[in-house]
Amino acid sequence: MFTLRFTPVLAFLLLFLNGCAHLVHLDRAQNAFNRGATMENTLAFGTASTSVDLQTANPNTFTSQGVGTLSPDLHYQLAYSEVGKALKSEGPLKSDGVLGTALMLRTLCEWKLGRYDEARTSAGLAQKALSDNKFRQPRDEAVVGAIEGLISSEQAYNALLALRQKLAQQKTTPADDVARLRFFDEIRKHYNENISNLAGNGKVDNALTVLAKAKEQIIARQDLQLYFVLSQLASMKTWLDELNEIYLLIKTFGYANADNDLNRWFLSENARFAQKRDDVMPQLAILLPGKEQHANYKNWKMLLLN
Amino acid sequence: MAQQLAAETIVFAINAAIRLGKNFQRAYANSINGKSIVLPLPRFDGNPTIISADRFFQTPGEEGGKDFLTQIDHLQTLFNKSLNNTLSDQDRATYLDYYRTLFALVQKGADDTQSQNTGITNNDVVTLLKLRQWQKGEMPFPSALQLVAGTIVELGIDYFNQVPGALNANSSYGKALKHFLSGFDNISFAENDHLQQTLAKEVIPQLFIGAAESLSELSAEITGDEQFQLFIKATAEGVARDVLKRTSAPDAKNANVTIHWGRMVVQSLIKNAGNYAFSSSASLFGTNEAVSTLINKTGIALMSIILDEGSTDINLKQVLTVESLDKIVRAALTVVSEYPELLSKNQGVKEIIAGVSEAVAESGIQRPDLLPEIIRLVLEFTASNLYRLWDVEDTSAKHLLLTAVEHILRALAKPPKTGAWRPQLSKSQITELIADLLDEVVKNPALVTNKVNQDSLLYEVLTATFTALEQVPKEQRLGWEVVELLIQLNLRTVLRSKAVLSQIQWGSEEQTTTILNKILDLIFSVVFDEADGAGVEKAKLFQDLFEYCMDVVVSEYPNRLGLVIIQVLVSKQTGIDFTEGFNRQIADEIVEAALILLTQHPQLVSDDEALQRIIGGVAEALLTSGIHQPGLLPEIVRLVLIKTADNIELLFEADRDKMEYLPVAAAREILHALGAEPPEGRWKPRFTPEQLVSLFEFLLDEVVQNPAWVTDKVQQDSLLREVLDLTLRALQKVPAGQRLTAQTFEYVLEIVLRGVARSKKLLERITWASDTVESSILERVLDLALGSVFPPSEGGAVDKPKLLIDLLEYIFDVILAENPDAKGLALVELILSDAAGIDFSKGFYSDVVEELVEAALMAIASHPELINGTPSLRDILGDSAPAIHLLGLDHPNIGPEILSILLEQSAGHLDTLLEVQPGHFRHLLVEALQQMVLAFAAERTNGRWTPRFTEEQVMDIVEFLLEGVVENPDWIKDDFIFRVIDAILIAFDQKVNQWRTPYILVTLLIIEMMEVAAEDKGFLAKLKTDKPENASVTATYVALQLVNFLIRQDRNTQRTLTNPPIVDTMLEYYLDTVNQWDLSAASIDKSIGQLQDIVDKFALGEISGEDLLDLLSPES
Repeated sequence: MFTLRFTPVLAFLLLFLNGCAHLVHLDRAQNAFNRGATMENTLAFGTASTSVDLQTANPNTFTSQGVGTLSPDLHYQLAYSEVGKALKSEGPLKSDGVLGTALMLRTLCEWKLGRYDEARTSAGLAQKALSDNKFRQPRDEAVVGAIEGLISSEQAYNALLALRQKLAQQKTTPADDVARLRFFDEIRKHYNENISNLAGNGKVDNALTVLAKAKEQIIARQDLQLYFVLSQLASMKTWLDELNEIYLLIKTFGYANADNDLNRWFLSENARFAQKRDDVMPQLAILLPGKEQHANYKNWKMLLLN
Repeated sequence: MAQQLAAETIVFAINAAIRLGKNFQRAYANSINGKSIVLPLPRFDGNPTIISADRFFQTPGEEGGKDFLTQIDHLQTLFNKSLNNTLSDQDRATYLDYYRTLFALVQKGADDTQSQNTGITNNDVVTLLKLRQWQKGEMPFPSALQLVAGTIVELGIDYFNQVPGALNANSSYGKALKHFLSGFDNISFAENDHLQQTLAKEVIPQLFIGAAESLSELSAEITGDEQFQLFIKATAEGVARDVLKRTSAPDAKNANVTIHWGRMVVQSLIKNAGNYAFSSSASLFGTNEAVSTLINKTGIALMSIILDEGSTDINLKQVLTVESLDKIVRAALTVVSEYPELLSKNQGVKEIIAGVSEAVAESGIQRPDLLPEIIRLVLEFTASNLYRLWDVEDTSAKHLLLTAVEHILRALAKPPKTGAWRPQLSKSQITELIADLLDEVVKNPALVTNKVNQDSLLYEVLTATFTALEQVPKEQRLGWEVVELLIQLNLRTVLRSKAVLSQIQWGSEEQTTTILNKILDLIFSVVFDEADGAGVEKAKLFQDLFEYCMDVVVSEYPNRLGLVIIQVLVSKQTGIDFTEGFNRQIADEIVEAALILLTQHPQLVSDDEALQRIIGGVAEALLTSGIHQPGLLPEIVRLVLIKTADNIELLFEADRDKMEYLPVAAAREILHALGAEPPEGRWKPRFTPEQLVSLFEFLLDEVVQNPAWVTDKVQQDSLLREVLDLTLRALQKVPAGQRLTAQTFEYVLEIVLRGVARSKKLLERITWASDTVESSILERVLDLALGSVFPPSEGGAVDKPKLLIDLLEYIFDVILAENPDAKGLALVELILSDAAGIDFSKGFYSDVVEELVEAALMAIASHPELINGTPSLRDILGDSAPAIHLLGLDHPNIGPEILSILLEQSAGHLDTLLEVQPGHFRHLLVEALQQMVLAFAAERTNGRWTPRFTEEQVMDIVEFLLEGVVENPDWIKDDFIFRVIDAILIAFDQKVNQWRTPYILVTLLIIEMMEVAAEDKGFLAKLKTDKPENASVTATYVALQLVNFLIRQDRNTQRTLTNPPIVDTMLEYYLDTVNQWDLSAASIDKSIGQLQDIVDKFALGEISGEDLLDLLSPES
């Protein structure tokens, strides 16, 4: 793409002389967000070690899978700030046809920064701005429409981290059967609320439902389909991680080989997970070049085996 | 171009700004709208879970990993821990790593090739998540380029070319652009509307964009350079002409493609020519003609290669990028700036580039994407080495690097044998490899020019390397860096000696391979031995081992010898444990040893069987010996190799039809002896590997110096084995807690071997004493010595190495050296006997035993039956032991002296001294000794008397008595000796608390009394007296009166009488006087009175000491 490189000084002056500051802020916001997202996605797929230190991770302060100054959140924060400046000129943004894009970007920033309620509000405004625009912006519409699913997925993940931390900090394990069963009731409750339940309104359930709907809206766009499928798989990994915690507890208390309610419940949930996974994985294969041979497909297969 | 707009400059500029501004804002907003956005996924944990890993390892079959559990012990352990939920954090990480790796392995499994060839990685998904607002062709508005490019170009051309000075036309940038545009003025084309249209509307704007972009990246210093500006002008003109020519040709194809490449070339030429124009000579950039040639030979040549149909089916257009074109242009400019004369030759940059294309095509590698990088590399290497690589005068000469490229790619393209592994190289790895190899070729053209086996050295090395790599098991694939290192090392080796590429027959007669191939085979077979598991990092081991073999062995011996040495090094039978990694020191030692052997005896190099006999023989010997010491085998092999080198002629017939090298046979004998386990409950020396090696070396030395150790037999076994067995058997009897150190053991062996070497009679079996079983003298001697030094009664950890060594040295080097027979054994028994009672606690002193041994030898000389007759020396010693023991309580060193006298006096008199009856014997001297000791050692009122005598005094009495008995055997009758001594000691005992007894007096009195009592038995009769208080034995009274006299004397005078010679003379006088009368108390008193009279004179000072002696002498 032609980048205007050959006249950078001239271009800069012209833009500001003509009142293009809102575009510059929006452009910067996009760039910053892209850097953060690229970093986060690279950490998720690019390297083997994306693990979280269970002993120190705090769901309230935890940043997106990276730590230190290179945290993706730093870029998201920067993007959030820039898009805020751009949105001070709502009128020009609207006349330039980029108000919906700016609000969509703010929604994503708020989502990634854990400001879920604000994200929901921004998403509503974005949907309106996008529908008012003189030409359709399919990507932005699809992303804003799926935001509830994306939020649910991250909420489930945060709940998983909280559970892990609680288990790691718990110094003693319940000594008698009654205490153990009470303990397991708490775990099961946590699972039902934050992951999945038979009514289908656990956080992961929500995520999977909303993302599935989002896919249906943009059947022609394989790139967006891929994004939503991968998001579903990310949610399912959180699901399996929670099942894994329960699996470890069951082994710890020696329930693994016994015929008991707890083990039966765990096995049925495990089977439910496998069924869901087996629904989604073929969708991923279709969307990837090389299908089942794609390294990413194999990676998910490895991550989601149960 | 019109020239009439100068007057409207300002208006034009304002209009231009407005036009641009509007379009820019629109374009900018559109670009934001259309810009891709990267969508992040919801957060999740990217690590696998335990549940996944457990499931995987529980699942059998192709999809599961259950089979790995039986193959990898560590994994099985982790799996079990996981099932019990006892994994530590570290375990967990390792377990999940296994899962990741093995899952990937299973997934690749059957369809490995396909997954590798797709070239898709997990990272690609990151790119896929970069999403555009609209898909291609769906954008609802014109692109930014479409919006502004045309306008800018139009404005720019007008602005800079026709309105000079409006925007600082004097700036270097402005000048450069002006030169570029003015280049078009020189193009004279026909009055053809179509051409004019093309030039004005398409070619010039595109070329201008390219030029403007490139110029903006250059410094003012460069753009202001006149030579450079000349170059820009020539570039514009040259490329524009070429593009126009191509687009206007009747068979012109896609004009846009041509214009696109024209712009790319212009961009690249301008961007890269700056530095050269600035620094090159005028001949290259200084004139229109020179610059024009330069453009033709580089830029236009490139256009030709890119756009013309070549002789190959490789399409450069499809693989060139802006960056790669840049690099090629830069490299091409470098070449011509280094060698400007190339511009006037028939051969030049174009031929090089075309040549690379051909080489890539001919190699059959099917990788056109490599072409740009290879072109760049060849050009870059050419830039400073032209004449070394290419005879440009000779149009038929081929550029050396082109040949090299062709050989490299051909080797890479050669398919592996079916099912074999071949490193899958990425593009950057191939490029890196080619760069390294070309570098090698530049430094060593012989790699391409020299041939071996019909191909260049380079090709042969690469082929050999890749063929060898096919041996690597799939699951142990080497990292790229190792493969590269392998190639480098191989090249280095081949350059040092291309002999390693020569064919060699190896193994079966049909098998022919190159030395290099065989070396690689050998190393690969040991490094990638599947049976060794995954204990050590294979790649590291391989690298170390290979580097070592090449640098140390092959560089010096690029022949069969080197190959054989490597074979020795890596042979399992040599026993180097490579599972712990490469140990250079051990390798050095083995190689050195093998070299010593093989260089001294080159015939072994081609005698596989001989080497096998040596190394295999040692390995088998160690294996069957039962010794399991890590690291021992290589040391043993090393020693045997060295010793064999010096003694190759020493062949030994081990079995029928089987000759064995002496050191090998020795190794077997030694190892089997040292490895034999003792009976249960018995101890045997345990050695560290170092101690074993030291011992082994010592023994091997002995054998080499004296082959008879192995060749001579004692019954079934070799002499050496017999000695070792006997010695070890003797040592087994050493009680627990008193064990020998390895060093001591080695000394013991040394002494024993020396002894046996001196006389093999020590191994003769004899029946000794009352034993019913025959055993060797050696064994008995060792039993005696060890029993003496390490008595079972001493439970503590007493290590007495020095005593043992001193004692054994004396025994073997003195006693057995002269008497390697039963006599020697008897002597050993003598010195270690209880009778001799020698106290070794403070060490061994030979002078203590020498006299005893001499005496014994004297006795044995006169009476050989003493050795093993009845009674034997041992019996006599046994009889005398109690008496000596009693004396020894107070005089620890007295035993040998007494025995010496006893044996000396026995010599020649046994007939009279020995009374033998069935089952019983009497030795008169022993009896005499016993009587004396009984008298001395008896407990009396004031305790025992033995400690009160000096050892010398005791020995005087013993000597006197034993001599006396020899002359008068009757002395032992009726306990005569006991009674005399007892009578005297009773007297002294009464006074011991009143008087400080002069023991010399007691000694002399015993001796004198013994003689007079022998003459007159009245001395031992009851005393004739009227006074009951005097009732005693006469001798006692005689002694008592003497004591009383001396006590009185001591009180009344300062003159002492108890010193020799006065005491001797006085005693003699007194006993003579007593003996003259009737031995009654009265006459004894009278004798004392007489003595008193004489002594008083002396006490009063009336006479001198001499006078006293005169008066007491018998003559007076």
